[in-house]
Amino acid sequence: MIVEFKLNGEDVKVETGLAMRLLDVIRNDFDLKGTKEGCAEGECGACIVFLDGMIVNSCMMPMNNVIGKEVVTIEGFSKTERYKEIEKAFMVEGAVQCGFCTPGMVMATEGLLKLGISLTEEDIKVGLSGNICRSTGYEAIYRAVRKLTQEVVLND
Amino acid sequence: MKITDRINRVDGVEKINGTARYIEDIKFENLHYGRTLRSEISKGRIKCIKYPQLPENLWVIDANDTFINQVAMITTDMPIFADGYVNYKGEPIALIAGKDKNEIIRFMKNIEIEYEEEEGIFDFGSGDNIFSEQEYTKGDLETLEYDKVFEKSYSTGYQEQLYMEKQGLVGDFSDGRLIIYGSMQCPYYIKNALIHSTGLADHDIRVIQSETGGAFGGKEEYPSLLACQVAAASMKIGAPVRLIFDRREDIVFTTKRHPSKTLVKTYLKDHRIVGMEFDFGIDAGPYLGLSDVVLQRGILSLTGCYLIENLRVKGTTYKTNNIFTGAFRGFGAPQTLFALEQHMNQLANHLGYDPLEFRRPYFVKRGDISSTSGIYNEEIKLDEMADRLAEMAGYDKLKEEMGSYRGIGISFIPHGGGFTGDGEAEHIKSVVKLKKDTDKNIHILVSSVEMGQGAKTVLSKIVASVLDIEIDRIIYENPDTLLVPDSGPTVASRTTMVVGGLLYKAALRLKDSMESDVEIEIVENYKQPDYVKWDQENLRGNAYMSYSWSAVLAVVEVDPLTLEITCKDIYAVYDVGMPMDEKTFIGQVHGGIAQGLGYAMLEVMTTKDGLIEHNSFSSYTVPTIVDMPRMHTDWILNPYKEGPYGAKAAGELTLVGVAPAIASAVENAMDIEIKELPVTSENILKELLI
Amino acid sequence: MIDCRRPETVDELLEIIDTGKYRIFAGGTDLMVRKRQWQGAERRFEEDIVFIEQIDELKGITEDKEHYHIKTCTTHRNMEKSLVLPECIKLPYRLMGNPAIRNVATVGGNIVNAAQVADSLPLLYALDGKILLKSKNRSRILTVEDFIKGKYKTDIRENEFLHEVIIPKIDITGFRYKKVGSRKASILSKFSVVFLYGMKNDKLDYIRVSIGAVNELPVRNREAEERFVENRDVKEFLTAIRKEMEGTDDKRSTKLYREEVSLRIVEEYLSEILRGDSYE
Repeated sequence: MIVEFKLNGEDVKVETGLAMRLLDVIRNDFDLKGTKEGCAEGECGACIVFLDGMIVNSCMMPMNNVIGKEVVTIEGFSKTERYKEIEKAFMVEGAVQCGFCTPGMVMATEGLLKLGISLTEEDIKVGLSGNICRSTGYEAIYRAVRKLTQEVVLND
Repeated sequence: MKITDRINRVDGVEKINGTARYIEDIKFENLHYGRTLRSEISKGRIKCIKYPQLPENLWVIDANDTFINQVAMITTDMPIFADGYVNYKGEPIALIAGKDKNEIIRFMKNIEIEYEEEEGIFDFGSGDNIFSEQEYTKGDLETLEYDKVFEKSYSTGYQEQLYMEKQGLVGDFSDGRLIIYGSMQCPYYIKNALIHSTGLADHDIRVIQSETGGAFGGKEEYPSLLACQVAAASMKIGAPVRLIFDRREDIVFTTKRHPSKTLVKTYLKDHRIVGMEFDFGIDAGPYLGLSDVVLQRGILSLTGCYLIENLRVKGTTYKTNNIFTGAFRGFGAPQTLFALEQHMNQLANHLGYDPLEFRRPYFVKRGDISSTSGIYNEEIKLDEMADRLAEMAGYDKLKEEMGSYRGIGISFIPHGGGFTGDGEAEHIKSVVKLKKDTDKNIHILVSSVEMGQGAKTVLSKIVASVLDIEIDRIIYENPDTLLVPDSGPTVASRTTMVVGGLLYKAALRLKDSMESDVEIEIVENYKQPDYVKWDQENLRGNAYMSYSWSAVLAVVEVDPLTLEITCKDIYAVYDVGMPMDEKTFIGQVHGGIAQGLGYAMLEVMTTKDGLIEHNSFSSYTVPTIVDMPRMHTDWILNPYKEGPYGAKAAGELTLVGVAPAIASAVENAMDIEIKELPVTSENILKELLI
Repeated sequence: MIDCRRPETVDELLEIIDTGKYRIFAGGTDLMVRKRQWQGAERRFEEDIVFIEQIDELKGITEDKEHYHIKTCTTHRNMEKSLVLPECIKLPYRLMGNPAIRNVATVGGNIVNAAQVADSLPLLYALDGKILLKSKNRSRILTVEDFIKGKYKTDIRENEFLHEVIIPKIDITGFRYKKVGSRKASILSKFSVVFLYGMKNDKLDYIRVSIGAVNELPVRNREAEERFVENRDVKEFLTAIRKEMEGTDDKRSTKLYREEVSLRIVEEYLSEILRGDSYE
């Protein structure tokens, strides 16, 4: 059937099944390849997108639950000013290595930043606990996000 | 630019904004998808396979479609497709390929395979199911005088690389030529395997690496198997064929770190170690693959940072019907050095010494004779590292603070850079090219891949720094075997030290011609340092051309009720010669600590009847950000004269020392003996109740 | 091809499921994974599906004098952020899955799946939670305990759906919750312990202890709870609970660990009461 939703700011329509995954639709039907499939079961966060402003794993999101809603992928988000700040912090801190988890990590980071600026260490870590990175040991990511939340307290 | 400048990764932006293209992101015209038909049993003969009526647009590719049904790694014992006989659960029997995934699934549901099942072997460590044995000695244990023997056994489990990007390759055969694209560490391993399996000429095969989302050894030899499969498929169909594993498939059916068992026997006289004996065994699975080489690095590392005068070392690779095991960051050393370091801690406890002070008298020094009777050629600063570690962690104070349920543990680890012995000169024969184009941009032409570790950044930085130009004038594309020479595989912590060393030399040669307007190409070939002497037959001589070192201290707390382990702090001091790029190096350190922590206490992986039980991200639990300890890291400078700007190996070292430090910290906290990795709450409880 | 339906109202939903052949699909966090086959391919659904996430009537948390009412499509995030619910209900939801999962996983889904590791079950057992099941012609309310029949087994009938969870309000003096997994976040339970108690006139009025993921179903023993209030005998209570444990070793943990450690935790909580420790 035809599914209508908003994708990166534009109203879109796509012929697909209601039980198809949002991840497959954005990657295959809309050719947006920045959203990755890591674990395919909601554990790794590589497929995170915003759905009506909330982070969700697109690997477990049926298209039915997307109808009429707004989806933002890394391609859409990377056009914003806020993204540029995140990119800069990730670059400066060295928060990227193999890169496969990174777009999802960026989306989860924005999910946190949206909450407001005063976040504790625990808030940040719990906020990123659904994003698995196998390369960095998370320290650089944590520093980047902490810096972004303006709560730079080095405890070394 | 200068080598000491702080820079950002050269490949960072595309990865952050999602425009980096991994194999699953790349479009191909007329692409066919492959899915693997796998054995449902662990061992036995395939009596018959009943395929349903094959639709016109589907293809079955099996052993009959290969020119030679062998995957050439070091040996050729692994078939590309099981041909009438299977040796492990999940062994590939065929690829089913087509353009419609749903149709492939429907077809595969109706395939019936009849087997004549035989009993598989799932335990290792005894019996005659042996692939190979290796042995060496030093000094003389026979006539040794001793007054005490201290003997313990240790074991370690599987570990999965769990690179974030799953295995994936595309084979594209047209007009008599084959191109393989995909996620890999070793483009030339793949090319060589294809020359063997396809019967195509060298010049008709091309391998191009695409962005690789993590590998950790998991994409060293395994992609050769997949490449042979997609090559056969593409040659049969005449269209590009893509094989990307689903995650569970990837976890369950690709190579793992070898489970191991180590017996350590120490001979003591007057509380001093006078001799040691090791018996190390690993589960190779049904095919040898790289297991012998893993075994070798394991046993060659076995005396760690210590000078042991009398020694007997034996290593065995066992053949089983479990999943076959292979390369993983550390390559045998995480297993043997867990055993050694845990043994040293237990020995210190047993004799009533402080574990740090107990080790010091045995630390190897320049000029000492190594376990394989070679000579340590470089300055070794283990004492300085021990001092630094103790100072950084506040060792004496920390020790006092430890009590029940809190503990500290230490480890000292060497890691030899590059291939074992004369492997670089005899087998790899690395070649690099550096090209200056007419716009005066510099092209790095090597087969080393960027897989997250920072090869592009570090190698570009070395070249830019020698030439004293901006790093953005360096062009380093993903390797394409048509364009780059064989500078060896991206493994063994050799990329910075060996390939970087060659590029350093090439850049020096290019430097004087930088002003000229013509295109210049410099070729640099590997030459073995004069001091390296190696007898592969008897495992004698300089096992490695240089060693990197680490000293690690872990602080853990164990929950008194639940026995859950929390690693609070990791202190670590490294000697990697000279880090080429601080940020990249620290990234390797933190990542290595995370993977080592997983190996130590989180990543339980077991098999049942030969099949991996922990088959998903939810059951195979790698560290999340919440699991990470505070990491306090430092390094000493100890330039290696053959390495670029003094650099030595770094990548693998960072993982190896973590597990023994954590294990002995738990031992310290709980006053029980830890002899098994990973250390789990379940095992602690069992130990407490016994 | 399977049939997928998308009702906008509860009435439409009831009409659809009255035919008895639809599988109900809410947030998707379980079914989308369990029914996967291959990246990019269709899920492996054998039966027709009716989606309910879009039905606004099925979302929200309300309270009346005696109960909290939680509609089936309320997400775990809604639970953890709720201004209505007490902390003892919110906490287990806050520790389930990870943030992106909590944003979509539903309260109803966690119950209807009836997985051994479903963390809401021990909580609802302890709270004497009930559910309202609706079908076209009738509604019925039963306790969660009566509803859950086994691992992945419930008492739901073909033409019914879980409309809401009803949690009786009780005076809770203190509560404790412990979830143990193999790492510190984003984890399935090896086991979990829900512990509640109430004091009346400075005297222990009740305790409630429920242990999840050890057996296929949560363990709760009302009789033993009542006995404990009378005799304060920790050992007797633990013995009674231990008798009910029938776990097995599996890939997540061992029978020994689950039983021994969950009981140690219960013992600790009971001892705290006896010592008169005050809880926040």
